[in-house]
Amino acid sequence: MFGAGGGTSSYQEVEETDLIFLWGSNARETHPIFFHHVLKAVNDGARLYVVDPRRTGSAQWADGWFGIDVGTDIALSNTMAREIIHAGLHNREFIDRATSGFQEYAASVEEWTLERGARETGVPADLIREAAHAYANADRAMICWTLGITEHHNAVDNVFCLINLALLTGHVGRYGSGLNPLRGQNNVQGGGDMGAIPNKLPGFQDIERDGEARARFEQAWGATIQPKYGWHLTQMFAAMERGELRTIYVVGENPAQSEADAKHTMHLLEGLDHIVVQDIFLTRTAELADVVLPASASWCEAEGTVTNSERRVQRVRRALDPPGQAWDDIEIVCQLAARLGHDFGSPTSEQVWDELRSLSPMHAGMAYSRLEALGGIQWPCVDEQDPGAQFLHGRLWADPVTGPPAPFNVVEHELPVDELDDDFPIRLTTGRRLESYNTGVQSGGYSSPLRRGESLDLSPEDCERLGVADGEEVRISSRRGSVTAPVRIDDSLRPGLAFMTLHFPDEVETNVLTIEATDPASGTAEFKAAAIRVEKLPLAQPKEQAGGVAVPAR
Amino acid sequence: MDLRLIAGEPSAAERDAVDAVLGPPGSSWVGGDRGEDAQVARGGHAARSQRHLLLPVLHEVQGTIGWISPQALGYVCRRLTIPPAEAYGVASFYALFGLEPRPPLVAHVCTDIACMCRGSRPNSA
Repeated sequence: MFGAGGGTSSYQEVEETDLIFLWGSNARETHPIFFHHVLKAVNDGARLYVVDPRRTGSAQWADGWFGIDVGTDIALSNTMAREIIHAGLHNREFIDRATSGFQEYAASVEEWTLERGARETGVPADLIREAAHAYANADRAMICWTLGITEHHNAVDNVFCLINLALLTGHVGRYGSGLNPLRGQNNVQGGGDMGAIPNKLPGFQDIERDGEARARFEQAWGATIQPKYGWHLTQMFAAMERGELRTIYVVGENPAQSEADAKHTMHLLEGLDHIVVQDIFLTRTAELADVVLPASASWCEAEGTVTNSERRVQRVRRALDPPGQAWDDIEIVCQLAARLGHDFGSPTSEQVWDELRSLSPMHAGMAYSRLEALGGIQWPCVDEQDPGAQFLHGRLWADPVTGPPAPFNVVEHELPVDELDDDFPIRLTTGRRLESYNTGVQSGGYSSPLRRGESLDLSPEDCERLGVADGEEVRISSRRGSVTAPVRIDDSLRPGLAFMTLHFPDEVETNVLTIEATDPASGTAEFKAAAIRVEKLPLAQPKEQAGGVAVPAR
Repeated sequence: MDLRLIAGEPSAAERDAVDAVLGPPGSSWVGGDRGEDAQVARGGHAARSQRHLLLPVLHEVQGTIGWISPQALGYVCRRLTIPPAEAYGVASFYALFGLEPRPPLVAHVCTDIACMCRGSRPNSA
C-alpha cells in the first residue's frame, strides 16, 4: 500500500499492540503461526475484533465478532468511519499533515449512519459503534486481513476501505499500529518482492512508469524490457479465450484446480498449443502438460531466500539433494535459457541474489552474510549499515512529512456479483481448514487426524428445513455447474450461509460452483461469494436382484 | 493454548446449574437459543475475566447434578472461554468432584489421624 506491496508491521508489534482487527481472516486455522502472535497480544490484554460471516475458531477468541453478510465489508468500514468522524475521534492533526482527500471521503461516508450500516451488514449498531470507538481511541491498533477481503470482485476497494480507517485514526506508520495483509505461504511476499507480478520489476519497481529502473535492468541484462504491464492470471485466461495466448509455462501453480469456474478453466487449458509445468508434484495441470520439469522442494532441496508477512528476508538452505530427475529451479531456468540461445552461465543462488541486490534498492543491504548474522532482515534495507525496517511509512509522522501525502480513497459498497434469489437462495463462501492447503497438492500426501474430506457445511436450521442428515450426500448447484457432496452440520454457520473448501478437487470440484467475477485491478475472482441451491438426492435405487436381466452399460 | 470445545449439549438441569452461577448466556454462540443474534457475539476478555467462577460453577454442577458430565464441562468452557483441558485439570484435581456418574448419596470417611482419634475407623469398615 502507498506504493510498497507488503504489510506495514512486524510480528513483535502484533504482540505489543492494544487492539487487533482480524478482517476477513480465520487466522486461527489459515495462518496458525501468525495467530500465535495474536494470542500473545490477547493474553497481554489486547482487544480482538473478528469480522467474518462464519463464527470461526478465530472468532471464538474475540471480544466482539461481526458476523457480517458476505460482501458487506465496505458498508461496515464506511459506517465505522462516519461514527468516528461524528464522535470527533478522527486524528485531525495526522489527517491534515499526512493525508489527502479527507473532505471527499468524509462526505462519501456521511450517508452511512449506524442504522444503515446495521441494516446492510446484519451486525447490530451497538457493536459497530463500540468497535469504532475502541479502534479510534486505542493507543496502538492494527487491521490484519486475508482472502475474505481480497477474494471479491471489488477486492481493491475492500482493501482501500481498511486503509481509509487507518488514515482516519492515524493507525499507520507508528510502532504497534499498522495494516497487514497476511500471506498464505511462506514466500508469497517473496514472489512479489522478486517481481513475479506482471506490473513490477524486482523490488516493486514499476515496469511502465519507472524508466530509470528499467534502464538499469536493461543494462545489467543486456536485453530490452518492454515498458508494458504483463497479464495477470485472470487476464491470461481471457487471452486464452481470445486465442491470443497459446502457450503457457506454469511454475509451482495448479490453475487446473485452483481457478474459479473450473469446468471453463479446463476447457481453456485443453485448447492450448503447448503447456510446460515446473513443479515438485505431478499436479492436475502437469497431467495436461506437454513437458513436465520436475523441480526441487524449495524449503529443503534448494539454496535461497524467502520473505515472510513481516517483510523479513530469510535464508533457506539445502539439506537434501533433489530426488531422481528433479533439478534446482535456478538450474532449470539457466538450462532452458541455454537451449533458447542465451548463456546465463551456472550461477549459485548467492550470485543470483547479489545481482538482485545490485538492481533492487530495497534489498541492496541484504548480503547473505548479513541475513545469516541478523536472522533475516526486513525490507527496505538500502545499504550494508541499514538494520532494515521494523515498520513502514514512518515518514507520515516525520516533521515535516516527507514524500507525497497518503490518499483517502472513496469507495462504494457493492454486493457480490452472484446474487441470491429464489432459485439460488444460499450464500456459499469458500476457504481453508487447518490441516489442508489450497488444492491439496502440498498437503494431500500427508495424513492428518483432523482431515475429514470435502463436505458442504450447513447450519442446523438449513439441514432441518431441507430434511438432510449429517453425512448425507446432496446436490449443490450454482448458475455455473453442479456437484454432489456430503453435508456436515456446522453450528458455526447461520441459516442461509454455507461453507466448502477447495482442498479435495478430485473428490468434489468446489470451483465448478464459484464465479469468475474478478476485480479489474487485482484479477482475483470472487471465490468468497457464490449463490447456490442445495437439493436432497432421491433415494438410491435398490440394486438389481441377482438373476435379473443385466442391461449392458452404454 | 487453543480453544477446541467439547461437542454435545448439556442437559437442561446441567445448564440451569451453570446459569445459576454465571447468569443466562449472552448469545446463542455460548449456549443460548439459536435465533436473532446469529451475526454477533461478545466474549474475549469479558468472558475470561470470569475465570474465578470456574470452581463455584463446578461446585454447583456437582451439588445439584451429582457429577460433572463432559457436556456440562463443555458448556462451562464455552461460557468462560476456557480450554477444556484446563477446566478438566481443575475438575479432576479435586477428589470430591465426580467426572463419572456417582450414586445419589456418597458418604466420605476421613482417615486422618484427628478423625481416627474421634472414632472414624468403625465407619470405614
